[in-house]
Amino acid sequence: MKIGDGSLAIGDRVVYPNQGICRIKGVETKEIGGSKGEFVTLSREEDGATVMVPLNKVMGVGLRKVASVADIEKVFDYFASPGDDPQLDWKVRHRENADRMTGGGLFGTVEVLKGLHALSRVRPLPQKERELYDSARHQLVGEIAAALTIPLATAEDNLDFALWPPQGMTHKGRALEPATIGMALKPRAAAGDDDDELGFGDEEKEEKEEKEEKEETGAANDEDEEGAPKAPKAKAGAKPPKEPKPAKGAKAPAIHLAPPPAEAHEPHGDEHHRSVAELAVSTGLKIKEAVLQAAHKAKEAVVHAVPHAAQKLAPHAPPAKEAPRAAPAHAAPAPAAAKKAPAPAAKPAPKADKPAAKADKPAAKKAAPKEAARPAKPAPKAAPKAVKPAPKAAAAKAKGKK
Amino acid sequence: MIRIVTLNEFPPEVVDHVARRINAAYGLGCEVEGDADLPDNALDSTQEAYDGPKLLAEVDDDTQSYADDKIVYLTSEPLSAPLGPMGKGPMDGYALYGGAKAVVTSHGLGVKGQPTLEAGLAKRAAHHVGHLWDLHHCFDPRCAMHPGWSPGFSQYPEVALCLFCREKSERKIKLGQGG
Repeated sequence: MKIGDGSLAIGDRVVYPNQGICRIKGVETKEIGGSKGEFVTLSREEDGATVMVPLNKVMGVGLRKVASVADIEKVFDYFASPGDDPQLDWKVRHRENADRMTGGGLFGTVEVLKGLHALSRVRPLPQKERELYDSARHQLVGEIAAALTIPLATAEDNLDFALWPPQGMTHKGRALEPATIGMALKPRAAAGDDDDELGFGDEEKEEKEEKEEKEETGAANDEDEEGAPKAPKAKAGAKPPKEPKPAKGAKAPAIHLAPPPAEAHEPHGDEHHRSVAELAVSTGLKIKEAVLQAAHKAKEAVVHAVPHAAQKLAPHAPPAKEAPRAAPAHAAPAPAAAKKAPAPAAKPAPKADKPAAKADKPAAKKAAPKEAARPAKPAPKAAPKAVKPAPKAAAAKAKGKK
Repeated sequence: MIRIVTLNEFPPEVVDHVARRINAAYGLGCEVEGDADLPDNALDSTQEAYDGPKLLAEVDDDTQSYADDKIVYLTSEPLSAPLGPMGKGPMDGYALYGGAKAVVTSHGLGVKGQPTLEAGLAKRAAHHVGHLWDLHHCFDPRCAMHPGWSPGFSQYPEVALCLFCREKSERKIKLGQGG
């Protein structure tokens, strides 16, 4: 009976890619899922497992006869010859190796093994390639042993006599260069931790970059598509992760009032991001230019807003002892800037002033009670003046009176 | 369980060291079972070394082994293997891949450039026990599955498996124990 392209017969030893050496037992007709089909039954030599392949797919899965002795000799010639430099681009390497392995050919497996072996001398293999290396080695050792009818141990030793030549090893009269010590991996405990050494660094970095790019583009799309409706939502949840920290202390108003020049290019929350993006879209400027422009405007706005905010903060100013805390070192330029440009406070840029003032107001409001509340601890009577008494406290007082 | 049988006389501390190192490498119990005689008809054609496959086939000992047990024979005699396409090469042991028996020799140990008898024999034994669980040669010179003739094998005398070989052996051991 013809099996495959006619080259296979019952009783033949065959190589089933990724399964190993099998022996063809026969062809059976089986009914599976209500439809009858003919299957080639194989017995895997390694463990005696039965493998069934549809008769019409025998060639498709890469089933082939065990290599001849001449082919195995060519394999050893190839192993014993000096190899090319290993492919260092993991994407190219991965694609090439996958193609070779799925092809199921003897020389494809040989190339995979030699390539990965050469790479292992340069750098440790990542986990997936380590598995591929082991799988290629397993398949090749099995095929060499089957083709030459030698034990598996002898087949593997001979394979490595070519890959890692011992002292004085020759092949066809040519002396092979003895193997040098390979690249040692880190001790077991640390081996799993160092992804860069295992070669995951590149892959993971690239994956991360791709993800970030996707997120960025996704976010940009969201902004473009639903920029206006999303704005209030963003405002409501406008507390960026780093915002609450400065709000705890007296630093928050200082940062908003007088950002140091170095931070001028850094975004200060979602509003700033949005305004920059809108600027970029509307004016068609590049983002960098837009950021610079926005930063400049913000600077101006801040300069104009300082007197207003200072006025608002003035009644809630903490006692003299607390003053150094409320005005940290980087807040020092604020009054200086205010002094330098006090005149154009109201007229020159009213539009720029408004958003800045709006942005500053809540911050000042939020910060002010806290500032007032802190000194209020030692003097509780002063606190209610600065902060309106909470309704609960009022209710409690009323109840007490009753 | 891994059972050790000596085919020649070894100092007890050496055998004990081998047993402890194998136990540590694979996390399995390792017992020293006793000794057995080298089969005379296992000599190779040159009559200078014992043929590995023949020796394992001919060795006669009373060791009782169960389904997942492995037996390691220790000898000080040189070993040989059937000739392959690369000709004759160094041989420090022979194992039946995926089988139950392996033979390891201490021949060549303790000389200049080679590890001591204790350390070298333990590492060789661990290497061939690995073959019994279908482990292949490993490119990591620190791993016990690194080829025995490679300079890395003697450079790192400690008996340890690399992460990959360790995990593979654990999987195989679990399979051998029925899940």
